[in-house]
Amino acid sequence: MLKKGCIQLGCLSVFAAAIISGCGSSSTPAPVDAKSTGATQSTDKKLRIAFIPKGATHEFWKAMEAGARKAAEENNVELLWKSALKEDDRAEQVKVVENFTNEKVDGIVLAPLDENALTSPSKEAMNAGIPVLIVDSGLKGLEPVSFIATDNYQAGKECGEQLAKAVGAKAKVVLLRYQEGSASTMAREQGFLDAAKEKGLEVVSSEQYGGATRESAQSASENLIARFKSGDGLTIKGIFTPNESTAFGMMRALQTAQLLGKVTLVGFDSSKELLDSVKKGDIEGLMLQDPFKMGYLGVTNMVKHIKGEKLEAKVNSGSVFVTKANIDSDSVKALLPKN
Amino acid sequence: MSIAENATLACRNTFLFSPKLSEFQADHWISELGVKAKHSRQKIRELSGGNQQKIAFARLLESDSDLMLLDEPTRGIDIASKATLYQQMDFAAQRGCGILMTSSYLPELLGVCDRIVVLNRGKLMGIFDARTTNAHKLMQECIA
Amino acid sequence: MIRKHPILGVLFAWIAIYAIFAYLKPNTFLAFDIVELMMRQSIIIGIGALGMTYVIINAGIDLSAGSVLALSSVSGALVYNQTGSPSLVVLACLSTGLIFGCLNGVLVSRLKAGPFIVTLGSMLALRGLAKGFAHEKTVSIVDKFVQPDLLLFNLASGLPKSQKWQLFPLGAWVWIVFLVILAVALNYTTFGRNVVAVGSNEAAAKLCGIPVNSVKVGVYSLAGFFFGLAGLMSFSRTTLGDPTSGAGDELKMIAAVVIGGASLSGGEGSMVGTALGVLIMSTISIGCSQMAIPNWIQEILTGVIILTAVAIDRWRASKLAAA
Repeated sequence: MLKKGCIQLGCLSVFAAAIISGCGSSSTPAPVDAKSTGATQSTDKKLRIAFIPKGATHEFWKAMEAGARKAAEENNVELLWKSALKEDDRAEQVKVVENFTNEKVDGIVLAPLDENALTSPSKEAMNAGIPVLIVDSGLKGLEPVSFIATDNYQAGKECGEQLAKAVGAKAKVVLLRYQEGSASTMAREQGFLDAAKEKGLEVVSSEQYGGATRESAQSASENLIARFKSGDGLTIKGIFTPNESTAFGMMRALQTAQLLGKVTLVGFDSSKELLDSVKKGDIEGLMLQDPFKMGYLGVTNMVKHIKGEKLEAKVNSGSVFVTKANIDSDSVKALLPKN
Repeated sequence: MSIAENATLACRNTFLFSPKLSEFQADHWISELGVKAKHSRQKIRELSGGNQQKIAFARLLESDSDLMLLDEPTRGIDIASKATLYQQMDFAAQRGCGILMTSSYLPELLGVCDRIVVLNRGKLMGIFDARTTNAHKLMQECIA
Repeated sequence: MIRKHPILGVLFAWIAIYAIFAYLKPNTFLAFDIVELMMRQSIIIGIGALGMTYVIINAGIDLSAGSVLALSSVSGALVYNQTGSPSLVVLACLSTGLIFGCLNGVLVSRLKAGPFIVTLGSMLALRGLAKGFAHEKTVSIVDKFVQPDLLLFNLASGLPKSQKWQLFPLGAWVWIVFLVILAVALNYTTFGRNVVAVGSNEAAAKLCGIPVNSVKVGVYSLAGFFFGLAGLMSFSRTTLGDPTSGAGDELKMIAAVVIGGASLSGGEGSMVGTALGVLIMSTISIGCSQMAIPNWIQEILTGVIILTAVAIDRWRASKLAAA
């Protein structure tokens, strides 16, 4: 009985392996596929660099992928782009890192979902001789070969200053947070709160979180609007949202409540809808990071490190505050999605 | 599910289902078969085994079928309930309904059936007229 | 009367929770605006939970609800970008739901591996399909078709002043109408009775001549239809085809059904109870937000309420068995 079971299990695993390798031979650059092609074309040994973003569906990561692919092309690098299935699934991202460590890629560029959870798999990779370069969000307790990111705290602080400039001192403002445990947005939120304190803004709510999806952010926004509604207007003058999904949810909630333009909204990151709103003047401004540059630098610097060059520990990939006034300028256009 | 729903479960299906009608039909069988229940909206699982069996039998009767297959219909229920079931089987047979019943209890077969078929390890041992045979003969065929 | 007790219990629970918030913050909670907001935020989960109630009464479970919802919102957005026709969007969303619901039903009744595993599989597969269709990004509406005033994009949004007489946005009325239809169908059609019969004892139902497999396919198709409708509402609310939307919504729907007095072992449950379950969850969510209570407390509260609902249900069942 047991023997039969074992044989069945064996057959099953062979079958499963067949399926997996079958998938690998399709166009997506899965690790298995990469290995086999790497073995066959040994003419000029291509570097294989794994790039692990936080998610796949936000515009932000699309731009970063474009940057990374460009750098990969220029440096003749094989880029393995693989995200966790869900934007907030830390365990899944840990597995992706472990798999690439096991694959013995030449380098890992990682945008960690969590400042703690990803530390030990990254350390394992470093111990296995695979350099790890961190982009976008910080990681505690690890010395990566380099850390390329927007200075989120500074950028958040600038958002606070811009908001204060627009609404005037002593005005009541609201912060809709993104998610617990995301280092980059938490730094932005902290920067914003510090700036608000300096400029004398009164933050009347900073305890609400938008959550992972735009829909959840929209519901949270509606609740906040209902809380601060008085007659046809709002008792608050300004709102800050620290990423794309919260900015979009808040914008949509204001839109359906016919309050767009009656309150000053400052957001972070961009999408087509958000930029359109900036053009119309419905959103005061957006802090744009440069994900393309982040992806580009991530891959190029990793190549430099592998070739033995010394890297700076911290690289600021920069950010720009976009308003109606400067949205058509060339320096801003360079940051916008190209299509 | 309620007694009413259970009793009418096998009825010819129409698109609409009327709880009132099914309660009416179930009430009829509750009094006819002497089911010990508070009312027809009571849950079936709150009844005793014998009473549950009566409702299951009522379901067959309510479906008004021409042939009934009964597999050990009286196993594990009390004597009074058994008598009620035998009586109802008799009524159904008189109405023209054919009944094929299996049982391992010989006196029951002799008392209820017109003809008795003995099967022994998958083989047909014979068909007997219940009026002319007796328990001893049947038993011999069974253990042959 | 005994049968009506569970619903009354849920109703009292909702009133009690509402009363607590109304006492703490009378200005907000005694105004009609908050009721409208509550209805609005209940639409997506509420409509999905309609289908989920049938599935759970049928002793099944559908974990793919959130994925079907996302797939429906993505296909709605894609169709809108191609055609600009709201009626085709509605058709696309509903048929997406119906097709994949039917597929779930066929798999559940043929594979005999249990609905949990089967729909767990389709949950992952359909989520992937949604991302694939959307090319791994959110489907935005193309510029030429952006029309914020279109009814399609206001099914679940706040009503403008001139339309306040409608009380709730159209999506909420759709929810209410289907709620009534499904509640009536559960009690007054043969299909409804068969759903309950298969849920309470599948083997017995089969012996009574009930076409068990067809009933299951029907139930999952029906559920898929409502997940598709929920996807339409999600598309309407966000004006985006978001392949990550609805993640975790299946659990919220199941929670609402259980709070509403249904048993996960099947055969029991009520549509009105489920609707009250949805309202209880939105009341807590809105109440916590209005009172500036952090998310973690809200999550604890919702969890405790689910546990209480289950505990009360078990307690009542044991009382009945003892009586």
